[in-house]
Amino acid sequence: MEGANKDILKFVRKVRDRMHMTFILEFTVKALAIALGIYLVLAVLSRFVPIYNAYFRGVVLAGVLTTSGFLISLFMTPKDKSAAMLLDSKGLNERTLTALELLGDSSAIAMLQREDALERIRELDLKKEIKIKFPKKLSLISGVLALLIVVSGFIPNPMEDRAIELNRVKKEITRQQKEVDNVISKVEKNNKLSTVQKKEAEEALLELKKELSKAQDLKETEKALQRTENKIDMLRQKYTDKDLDNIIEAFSKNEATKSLAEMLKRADTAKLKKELEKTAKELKGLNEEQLKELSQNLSELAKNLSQNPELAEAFYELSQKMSSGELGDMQNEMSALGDQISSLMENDEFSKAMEEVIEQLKNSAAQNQGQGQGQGQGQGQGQGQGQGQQGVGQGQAGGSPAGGAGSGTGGDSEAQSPQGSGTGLGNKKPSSGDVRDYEKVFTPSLLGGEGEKSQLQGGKNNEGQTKEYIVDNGLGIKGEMQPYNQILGEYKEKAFQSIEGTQIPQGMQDIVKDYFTSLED
Amino acid sequence: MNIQEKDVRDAYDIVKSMEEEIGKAIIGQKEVIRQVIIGLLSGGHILLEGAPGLGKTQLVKTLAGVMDLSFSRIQFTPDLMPADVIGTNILVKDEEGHSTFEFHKGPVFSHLVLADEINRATPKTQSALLEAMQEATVTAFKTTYELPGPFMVMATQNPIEMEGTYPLPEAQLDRFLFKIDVKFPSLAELKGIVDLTTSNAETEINKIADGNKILDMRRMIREIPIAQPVLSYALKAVMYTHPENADAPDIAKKYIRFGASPRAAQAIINSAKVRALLEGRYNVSFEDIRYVAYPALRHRVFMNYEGIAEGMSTDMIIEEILHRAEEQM
Repeated sequence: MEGANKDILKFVRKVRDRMHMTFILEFTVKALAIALGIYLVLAVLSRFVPIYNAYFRGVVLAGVLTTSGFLISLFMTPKDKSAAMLLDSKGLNERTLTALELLGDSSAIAMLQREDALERIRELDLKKEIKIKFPKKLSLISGVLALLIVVSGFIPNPMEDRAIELNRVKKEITRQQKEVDNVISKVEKNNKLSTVQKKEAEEALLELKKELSKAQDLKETEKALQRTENKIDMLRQKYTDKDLDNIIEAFSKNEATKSLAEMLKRADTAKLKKELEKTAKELKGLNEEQLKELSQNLSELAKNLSQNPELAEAFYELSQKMSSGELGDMQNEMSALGDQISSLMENDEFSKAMEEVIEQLKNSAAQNQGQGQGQGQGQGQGQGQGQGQQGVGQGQAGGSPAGGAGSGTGGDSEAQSPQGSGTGLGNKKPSSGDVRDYEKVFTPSLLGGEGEKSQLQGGKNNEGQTKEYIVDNGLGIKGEMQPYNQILGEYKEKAFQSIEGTQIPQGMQDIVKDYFTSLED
Repeated sequence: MNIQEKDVRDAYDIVKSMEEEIGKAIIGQKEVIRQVIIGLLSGGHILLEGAPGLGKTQLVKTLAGVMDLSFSRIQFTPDLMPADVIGTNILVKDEEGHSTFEFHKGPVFSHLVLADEINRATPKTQSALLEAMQEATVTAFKTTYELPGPFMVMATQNPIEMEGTYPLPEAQLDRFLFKIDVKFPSLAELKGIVDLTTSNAETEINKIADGNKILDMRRMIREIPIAQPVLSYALKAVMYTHPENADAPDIAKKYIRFGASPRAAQAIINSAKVRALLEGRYNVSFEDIRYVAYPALRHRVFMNYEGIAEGMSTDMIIEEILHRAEEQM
């Protein structure tokens, strides 16, 4: 009985193995056919939709799918029952299936059944009846698909460049997002910032990250970076107190307070109070004139401390004491002064941290432009005009962000060589080479400051006389029509500077800032 | 039961001999003969349906002749009474002159009972067979009498002369193991029938087996194993005759009014085992199930008016049901 059971199992396993082999072949080739189908779709699709490296991806996909198919099929061993049923389908009429179920059954009928089943199975040529089939049809389909893919590779792909560009943009965005993460982490680790400051900075940076993920091209990422720079700058300005500079300046004017000024410059909060106490003692040694001078300085300083009325009051009281010569115990005044100045210095820390952030963002943007199209240029424009006796020289030079000198040629019929000097205005920001048409606005050449001198040299011929005019601030064109995007940054900067120096409520300042920021969108 | 290979071979030989003997008297109708033998060895009753003159009655008479069994024939007519079938008490006088009732056994007290044209009797009379067919007993006047074993009812009915007939109720039909359609013979078979019945040649029928042998064979056949997938196939086939079954084929859902009872599953399995033996196997195959499913389900699947109006046959529905059961394997 034992032998019959084993024989039944042996035959069933033999059939099962052959089934498994067939299954592995079929499953793997099927996976290959499906993979090649997807590959072909990808190849065709890449003609209409920009898909980066479509062919390489197709190869990887086909490889992965086929290998997966093979590996999966290796572990999908058919069951003995399925093998028995397959064997029975060769005219055994469920003899094997029944025998398999009766394995171990020692009843007379079970033994008879098993012997009968074995007898019939032995009559079968298993290799002939249960062949390992190679999936010819699927293989043929796979071959045709592979051929189509190869043929499609020779057809020019109009989307290839676009796909490469998009991929580059994607990589760039990812890089920038990492940079932003890096900046966020730095902000978080900065112990000098308060929780509120960190939160505000992080919000702006997270917003940038979000915008970057939505960006479709590099221009959008640049805009997002610029917007965030502005936001961070506004944050910086929010916490920046120019009164500290005023105090340093005022302290630097007097010998007695010069060391205090140095201390403030170094932002050494720890030593500030000691230095103040030391200065208080030194004040007692000053003569009346020196005290008066110091008192006047401090009084003027108090007037300039518009943003810090408490500090102004402290300086004012100190100046009053000095002018009256009542320099008794000044510990309280100095202590109050020390606290107020320390507070200012803390804000200054934030300002510095934010400047770092801005710097990093600028670096990121610069890398973006540098790595980008290879077309990012600093472009400056200098215009100068020289006037000879009757001739006019005019020149333009490009290249330097600071503006440049132009060379002019004399146009005079009497061949006078003109020579002149001109001023040039350099745009601060480099052009990204965008060809978009922006509305043009009139731009005064000397917006908010003085232009720089530049020499305009003309060639000298042998005839006529030569005269030279030295012109300050340039002559001739005082402005020109320029696309607004080229001058917006400069206008914004001037506007921000302007509202800083004016006593305008913070809310109104924000409205102006928001307006300029929105123009950049 | 300890079965020896010899027993199985003997049984196989007996069945083959029976087929041969019956074949002497019945020309053609091989499948009908085989199904009748399957019914006999399964311990079921058989309803033969066919036009007049196709040899239904002759087949039953021959079968009785082949086996050493008692045989009685009841011609069912509208005026036939239950007592005419099962028997009745009659008043008899004993030796001392006292009158007493004595049960006079009816024709049902035989091994083989031919209920000829069963649908011509009233339902009341038809129902007299219910207990006999199910329990192999007869109860009359508060006394239950056992019928001799093996007991088998073979009924015939004519499907074309429906006037004045009483279709068998569902409960009665369910008691029949098989309903066998007796088809018109082929030309060659018809010639053989004519040759046999229009000459003076006499056919000698040999008795092959007695009642005890039949009972032994029945017991042995029940031992034949059936694999789970095969059993499952049979049970699914029965389940799918029920239109309310979600997996039933559309044709079943559309045209069946009532599906088969659990007796159908018993009938299929028992008869499939016999069929396996007839095929010289010790196990039941899918083919056995397919073979016996038609006669076992044919009278247990009740079509609705739509099915009847559209000319559907139960065999067509059974075919679809078997397909569905195969799909669900």
